[in-house]
Order: sequence, then C-alpha cells, then structure tokens
Amino acid sequence: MLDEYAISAIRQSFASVQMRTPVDALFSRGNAVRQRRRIPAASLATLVACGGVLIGLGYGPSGATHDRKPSTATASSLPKITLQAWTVKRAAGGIVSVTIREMTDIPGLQAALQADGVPAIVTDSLAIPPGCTSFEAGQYKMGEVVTTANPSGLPSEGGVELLIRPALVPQGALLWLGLAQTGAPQGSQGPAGPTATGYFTKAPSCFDN
Amino acid sequence: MRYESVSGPREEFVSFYEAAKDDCLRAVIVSVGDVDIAEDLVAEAFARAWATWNRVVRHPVPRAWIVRTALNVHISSWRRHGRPIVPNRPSDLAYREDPATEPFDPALMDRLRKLPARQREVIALRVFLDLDTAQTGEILGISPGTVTAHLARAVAALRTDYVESK
Repeated sequence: MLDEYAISAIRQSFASVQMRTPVDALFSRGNAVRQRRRIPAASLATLVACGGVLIGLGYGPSGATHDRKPSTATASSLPKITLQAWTVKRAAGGIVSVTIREMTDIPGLQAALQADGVPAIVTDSLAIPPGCTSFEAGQYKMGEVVTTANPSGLPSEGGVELLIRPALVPQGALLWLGLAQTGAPQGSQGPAGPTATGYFTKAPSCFDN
Repeated sequence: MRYESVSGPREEFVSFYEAAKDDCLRAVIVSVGDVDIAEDLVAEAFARAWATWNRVVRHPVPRAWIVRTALNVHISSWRRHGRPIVPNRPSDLAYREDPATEPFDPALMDRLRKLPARQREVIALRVFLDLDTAQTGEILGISPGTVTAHLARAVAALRTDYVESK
C-alpha cells in the first residue's frame, strides 16, 4: 500500500518547480534535430555519383530480393537516378544480408528485417531508444550474430553491409542496430554507417520507436 | 493518457508543452538530481519530440516518452563523458544563490539522491507523471510487482529519512 502522506509531501515539495525554457526555443532546437537527420544535397549528389557503380556491381534494383525502399536523388546536371536506400536479402545458411546506403525509412528497414525473421529494432541514432532496456541473460555471441561483409568492420564501398544470423539471437532478446552518420565530421551529415549493436529485452514499449 | 489533437501540429505541440513541461521537469529532477541539467535534458527531449511529433503524438503516454528520452540523453551523455553528470555533494546544488529561492527543499533532494536510480525513476513516473504500475513497468521494462516493490522501498526510505524529520 502506498504511503499517501509521504507521496503528497514529495509532490508538494516540488510544486513550485517550473520549466523556464520558452517553447520557441524548442521549435528551433527541434528543427535543428530534423536537419541533422537529413542528408544534404551534397551527400545526395555523392550518392548519385556512386549509384552507377552500385548498379554496375549488382547492388541495384535487380539485385534486391526482399522489401526495399527506393530513394530518389536528383542533381540539376545529372539524370534522375533511383537508388535503393537499403536492401535486405536472405542468403544461404539462414543468413540475412543487409546493405544500407542511405539512412532513409528506418522503420521500413526494421519491418523488412523482422519479416525475414530477424528480431530487430533499428534506430537512426546511438541513443538507447525510449522504452528499451538492456537484455541481461543468455549467450550473447554478438560477434557471430552480426558480422560485416568488409572484414575490417568498416562500411564497404557499396554501403554498410551486414550479415546477420537470426537463429543465434538469444531467446527473449531484440537485436539493436543503431545507425549514425559516417564519413563526415561529427555534427555534419554523411553516408549511413553502423555504429552500435546490442540486445534489448523484448517488450512492447521497445517497439514504439 | 493519449494526447488529443487541437488543431495544427504546432498548436498541438504548444498545448502539450504547456500542459506537460513542469511535471516532466520534476520527474527528471528527481532522477538526475540537478535542476539545470534536468531542464536542459527536458528541453532536448521536447525538441526531439517536435522533430518527430507525428510519432510522439501517437504514443500512449507522450509525457512518459519525454521523460524516458530525457533520461536516455542523460545516459548517453555520461557514457560519452565516461561518468555520470550528477552532482555528488549538496554544495553542488548551488544553482540558486539564495537557498530561500530554491524551488524545493534541498534536504529532500539529498534524500532522493541517496536512493538507487531505479527507485528514483519509479518515483518520477508514479508520483510526478501519475502513471499506474503497469504503465510505469512497461516504460522501465520491469514487472508491475517490481514497480510496487521499488516504490514501497523508496517511500519507506523517504518517510524515515525525510518526512518524519519534518
């Protein structure tokens, strides 16, 4: 049973605490957050230039075998080219291959991974998503669950290429892929890169993100 | 409580901010132990909420989203800095030059800071956001029974250390 007197005393003690930040400051700060998440035109132009290489290497639309979300990039002096923002493919041995070129439609990427049997949550930042808590039981085997196509662990020329073995994800865990910008100074925009992997405990609250 | 739409998103957000900001701030103060840090964290959380307002407005408890986000920003921040940004001594609470103008009793804040982090989070969500045990448990990723146990222990400690000394 709760001690209503004690709770009331705590509540009253903080009754005069007030937030002083004007709402207008939040709008400008929030808009800056949005801008940080956008890929600027310069980066898109770079991606467009890389597009021909990707398509030539077989990473274009014809190479995709599962859910994919196209992103259209245009530059005034270039023809319109449609790139795959990311591709999820099923490979031999129960491996799911993921290539991420652009941080677009992250919820769609998460849904595609889940459709391919990967209990994944994907975020566009390094921050732990609200409602998620660390998974603290079982065999982690993260080095076997997620590997990079590039043995160095860095993004390949074609983007971030991950090989995921969903069968090795511990029971009751969600695999977290936290994506941030790479290839650009901190605070500016750049191509997508994997920056964090981990496990969260499966919970409805963790899927709200 | 799901936040109801009033008109445009900007007006919606302003109404939400006005209604929720003080409770969110109080909840975060309890968790992090410092008014100025808490205000900055809550402002950052509201800014992120505005940046993804179409998602946050559909959250079952948007105020809880704000508090959880503010605490996550805090955790990320001290991970980057390698240590928690929480004042260790009462003298660090010198954000007000005149103690008489402090918005709450510093003695209570000292008692709260002695509680384990999880108990402070439960206090924040149950007492200041008025969430029930199920909602609190879902947000913190623990069972309702554990929420009740944490709250009971926290209130017992505060009653012994603080309320009965008043």
